[in-house]
Amino acid sequence: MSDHRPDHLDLCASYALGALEGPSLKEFERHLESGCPDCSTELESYASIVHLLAIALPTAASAPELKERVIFAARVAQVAKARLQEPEEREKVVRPPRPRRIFIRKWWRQVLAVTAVIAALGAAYLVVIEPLSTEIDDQAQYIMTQNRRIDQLKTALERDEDVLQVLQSLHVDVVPLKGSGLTRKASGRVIWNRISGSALLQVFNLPVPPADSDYQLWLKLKKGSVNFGAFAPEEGAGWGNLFAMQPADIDTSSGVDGFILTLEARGEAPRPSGRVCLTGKLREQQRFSGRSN
Amino acid sequence: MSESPVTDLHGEDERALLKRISVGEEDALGELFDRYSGILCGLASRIAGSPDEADDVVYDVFLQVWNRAASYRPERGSVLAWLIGLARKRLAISMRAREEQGVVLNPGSFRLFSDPVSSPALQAPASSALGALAVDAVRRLGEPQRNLLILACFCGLGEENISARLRLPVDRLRADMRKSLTAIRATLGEKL
Repeated sequence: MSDHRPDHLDLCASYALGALEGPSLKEFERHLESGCPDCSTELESYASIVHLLAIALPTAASAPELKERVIFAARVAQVAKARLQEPEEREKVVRPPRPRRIFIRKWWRQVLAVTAVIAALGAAYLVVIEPLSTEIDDQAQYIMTQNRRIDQLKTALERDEDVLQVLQSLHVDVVPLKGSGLTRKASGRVIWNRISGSALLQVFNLPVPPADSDYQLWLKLKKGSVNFGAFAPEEGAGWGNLFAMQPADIDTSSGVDGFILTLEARGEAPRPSGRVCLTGKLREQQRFSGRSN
Repeated sequence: MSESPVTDLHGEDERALLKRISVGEEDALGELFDRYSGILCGLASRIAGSPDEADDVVYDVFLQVWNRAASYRPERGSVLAWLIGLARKRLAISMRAREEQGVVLNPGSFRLFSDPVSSPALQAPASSALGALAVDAVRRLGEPQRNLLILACFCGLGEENISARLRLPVDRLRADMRKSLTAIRATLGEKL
């Protein structure tokens, strides 16, 4: 039975705008429950206006990963809900026989009730929260591991693409490198694509450079040299010590002699000035003059 | 009770979505997110202090949807209106914290509703002719009524807070809200 009053229409407006609160809100919701046709019609049209104004607002993009975060949290909430329901289900199936009523003084009942609540909270922690937090930790750990693996694969893929780009050329020179002096046990090779100018450098037994230094590869020309970039090999990397090197600008018009590897102060030297660690000469028929392309 | 064309825009479709969410279908939650996260984020970013905080609001709203989808009452308004209601409640918490830090909320930041009537900006954001008409109607309200509408509808403020802010008794406030909505409804006329 509706108990409609004229001021209920004002409440409709406040309710539709989401501003109605406290006892007025409860009272008005009770009134709506009673099925007042005047208020229902009024509210429907006000709600439509709010909807129209809302969809007229300019939109903004949320963080790209937000949707995944929401879905993940929803999944976790569902697991938690399922865990919470499990004990209830078990209780329904194997309900213990009701104990015989015995007289217990009132204060003992309270002590027992408090103890039971504490025990229930403890049990809830052990049954629900702890396994859930362990599960979340495991999931987070798994995601971190997968992200690290993705980064490693990306790096490997980029390197493989560089390698392929060099190797796919018909005009590839392979220049063996030999060590001398302190690096006499070291060796390597440069696979050089004369068309693109890029090169692959593979090194063996080359010691890890001091913290403030890097190795730097140079193409020796008859006149001057071309910087192919700096790198630092990782200890024990073995066959992994393969580097894609790219010259900034290459002009071989004066003729090419070979490659050298020097130890330079970190930050790339403009010309070779440090100790020479590896050297390799192009074979006679490989030496050419004129621009590489 | 018959539904108006506006609430029927996505009506059946959205109710079905919420039903799927209420039985734990993640895909349905994803669909609802795709449909409305932009609007909610646009609203939140105008009130929250930073994009991160706006994201937090959107995140909380959709989690509430996941947990309370069954409590949606179609007879009280569209799904979007419900989502905005959830966002407003969440924003009210952020806003209280910001106001404690001395940040003053400015309804004028909702420029869509205060730019001059017939401004070209009107065309871009309003997603339908009816929406553009509704925005236009808000613009035609006097500034106090417009601010009242924005504070209630988009800033998540309750009657008590608005009443203190605008120094109006609550009864007068309610009557003004109704007056504003009735004026907009009159502009929209039969199209609503």
